[in-house]
Amino acid sequence: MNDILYGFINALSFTNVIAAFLSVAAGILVGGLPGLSAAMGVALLIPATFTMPTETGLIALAGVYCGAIFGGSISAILIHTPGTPAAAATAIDGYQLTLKGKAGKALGTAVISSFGGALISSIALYFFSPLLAKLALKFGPAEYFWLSIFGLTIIAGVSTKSIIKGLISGTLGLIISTIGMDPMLGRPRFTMGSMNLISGVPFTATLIGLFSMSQVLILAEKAIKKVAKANDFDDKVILSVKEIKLLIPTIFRSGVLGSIIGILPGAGATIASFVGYNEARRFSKNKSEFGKGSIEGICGAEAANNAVTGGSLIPTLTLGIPGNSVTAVLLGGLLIKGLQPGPDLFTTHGKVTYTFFAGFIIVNIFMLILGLFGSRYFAKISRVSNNYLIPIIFALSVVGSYSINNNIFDVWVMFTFGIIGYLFKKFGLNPAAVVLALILGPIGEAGLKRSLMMNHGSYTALFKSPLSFILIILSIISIFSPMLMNKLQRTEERVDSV
Amino acid sequence: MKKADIKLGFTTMGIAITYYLLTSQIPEKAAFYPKFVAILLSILSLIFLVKTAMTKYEDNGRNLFEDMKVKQYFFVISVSFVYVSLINILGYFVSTFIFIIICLLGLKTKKLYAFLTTIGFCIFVFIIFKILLRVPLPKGFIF
Repeated sequence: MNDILYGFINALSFTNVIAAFLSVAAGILVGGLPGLSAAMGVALLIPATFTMPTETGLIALAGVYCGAIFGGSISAILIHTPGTPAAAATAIDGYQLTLKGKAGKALGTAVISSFGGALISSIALYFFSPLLAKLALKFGPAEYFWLSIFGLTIIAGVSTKSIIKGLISGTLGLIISTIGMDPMLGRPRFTMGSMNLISGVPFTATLIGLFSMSQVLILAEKAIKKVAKANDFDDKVILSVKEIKLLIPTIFRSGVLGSIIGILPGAGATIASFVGYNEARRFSKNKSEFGKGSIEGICGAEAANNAVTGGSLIPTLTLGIPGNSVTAVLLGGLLIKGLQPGPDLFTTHGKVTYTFFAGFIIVNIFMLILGLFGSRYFAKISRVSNNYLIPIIFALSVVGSYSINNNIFDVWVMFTFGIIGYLFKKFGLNPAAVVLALILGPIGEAGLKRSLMMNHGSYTALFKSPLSFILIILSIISIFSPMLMNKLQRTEERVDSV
Repeated sequence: MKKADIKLGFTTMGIAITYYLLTSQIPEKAAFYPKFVAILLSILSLIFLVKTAMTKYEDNGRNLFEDMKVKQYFFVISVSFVYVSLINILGYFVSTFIFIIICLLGLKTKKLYAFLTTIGFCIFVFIIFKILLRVPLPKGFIF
């Protein structure tokens, strides 16, 4: 309890509040620009958090994450182009309201719902994280091996259309993770004689390459068009009391749904927003309004997709298995700060963790304020054309990758992984799976070797404990869950188009 | 798309085989896990190739790179390459200034906007990274 209280007080320190404010603004900008993703924003910010105190850095990362998820709805509402895939459901009714000259109302609904959804998910974060973290105490080497397999099978299915391509992506990541020192024997492997690779491929530079520079190349291959002009709007962003009362049940429902979907590995914000949207319609008294500019529709989608932010942090912080690409990158940021997911986060590092949790709430308060009073200005951002974004993102990628070790080698690593990331995207592979493999690879390898050593080379040790069995079953389920999720999403989308 | 997937399958299979062969250069104990990963990748590649061969693709014949603006793409990638090569010689700010302005003009941005954006970006990075975060950036012989 002390740590929770301390967290709130510490999160309100001047530095943390400023970090929360600036990062949310940056996140909204990233999310508002079609073509830039939340994962890209978080990857670019990681180097900047290096010199910050741990909790401030984490708050800043959460700020970009939450801001970007909300920011995606601005361009969805104003130009019918979702800034992030998670805002696709918001575009359905949001753009209809814009056409009716009520873009302000649509944005107001989006921001209030996003705030409500995120707040509900933060309650889940406080409540479930310590409970789940205790489970990690029961893990031995064999369980850690299976946990890494489970994590990889989850991410393999996420945001990849083909499960087998996801698994191939993860395995390619495992290969990259073996570059450097052997975790048990301390011998260098595949370093090609380079001292720079002794401690493995530089992690942050790899992240920036895979998520930021690859995006530069994706933008560079497309014809540069003038981005559609965002619609100006004159109506108020602030909603009436009556409208807010109408939205409260939807916020609550979608908030809970989004939090649960966020915790479930493999689902994510896009699925949550469609589920939230459809549930809002099912319970609505004005079903006919849906698709024609219903504020309940916007609310259903936005509360759900922002609730995913808090929910998805739960498995990331407790078991070290992120369910989507943003949390995979965020987990990287956590590890760089020397924090290991698991029970230690709630005991030894309790003060940092609970400051981060309180910061998560503050971040969302700023999202509400900036959304209500700044949407008009953020809307103008969606007019920035790709010819500006290309050199700016690349120059930021360079400064970001250099600043970690002050080594130009890292910039070349970023460059190489930028090209790899681009090819990954072109061929439908999943860069997030590589990130997770880089994190889980060494954990899995050490778990496997320790387990075999402790049992004189016998493989049966891997199958002894009930927890190992549960993890094996979960891994098998997670290989098949994307099929189920795809089917679910297709059904939801089909219902939408009716 | 089918062709692209077949190429992908053979490439990953190639990676798996090359990687397996490379494991012979490291001691047996350290090679155990990499060998396991190499075998895993080759099995997955094989399954993927068989699956691709058996699946009927709706958009058969479509090239992954057919909408690509080749000149623009290679312009960006080569300017970026030269930029990174020059950082340690010219320093971060000088090389960044040159890179952004060339890139913007090459992408047909109006001269005034290109100049203002470049100046604005360099000032932004200077304030954030140099003054606020105190990140040491590469210095060249000029700045």
